[in-house]
Amino acid sequence: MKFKIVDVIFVLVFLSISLLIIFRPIQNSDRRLTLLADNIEITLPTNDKVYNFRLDFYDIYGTKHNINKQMLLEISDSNARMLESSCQDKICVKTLWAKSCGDIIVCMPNQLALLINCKIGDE
Amino acid sequence: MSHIKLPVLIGLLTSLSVVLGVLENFIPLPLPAIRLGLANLPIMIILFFAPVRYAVLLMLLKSILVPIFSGNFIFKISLGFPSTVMAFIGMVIVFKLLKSRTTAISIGVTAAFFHMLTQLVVADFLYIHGIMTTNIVGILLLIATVTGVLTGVFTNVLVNNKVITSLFDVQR
Repeated sequence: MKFKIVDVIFVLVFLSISLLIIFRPIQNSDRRLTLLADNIEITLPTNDKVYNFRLDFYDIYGTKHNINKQMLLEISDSNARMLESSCQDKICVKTLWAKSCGDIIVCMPNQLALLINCKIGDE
Repeated sequence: MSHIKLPVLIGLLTSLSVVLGVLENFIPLPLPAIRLGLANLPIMIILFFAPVRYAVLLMLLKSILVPIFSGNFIFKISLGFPSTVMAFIGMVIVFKLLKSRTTAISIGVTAAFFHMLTQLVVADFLYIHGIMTTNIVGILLLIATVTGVLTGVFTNVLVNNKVITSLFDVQR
């Protein structure tokens, strides 16, 4: 197997881009649980609860929402995980807990994501 | 090269690409949403041995047929088609510009990286706005780089294999 120098450069460039994105500076202040559903951004309270998205629920401002999706989301110690989902691949359920800033649980078929949202860099 | 033989090989490699694309859904990997990119192997092989137009044909057929056979058609083609096209453009540019200076590893890693990047951009645009700002982007791009190196190594072995080269009547 022959490797050429250009191969090594290509791999190093792509690895560096990935690592730069992973280790970009993120402040841990203003930690929020943001639910992105059908292009609507909803900030969820961080107290322990299991959300059934077939039913009504309230955001941190007390506004009532109903996104009507067959999914169960658990929030515990300000961390979140998807307990159940109606999607085919169950990728969101297999993702397990979202704990750190920038962590995300995505369910593409249901067009839903749960993001731990923090201030990034100097924003 | 015979004009009859090449279309037959394109057909065979297309079917191989589709079968690999469907089968790799069943290969368990430690992280969700990750695939090895085995369906890209036949495209890279054809790129080495045949004119680019045949590779374009294979790429288009693969990107349409794999979502048909693996289910959830609209969702998978909306993500898969643009990313396969972008990955292919990246592969062709690297292959044409740096043909003598690279091996299949550069081509494989470029394809995997652009495939994943385009998927994330399309997902951000169509499905989950804001996904591009999350940690998952870096992790998925890192894994794509690793799987790209793997497919590049596999392709390198295959394009130097005597049986494969004899199929295309290429003296290497």
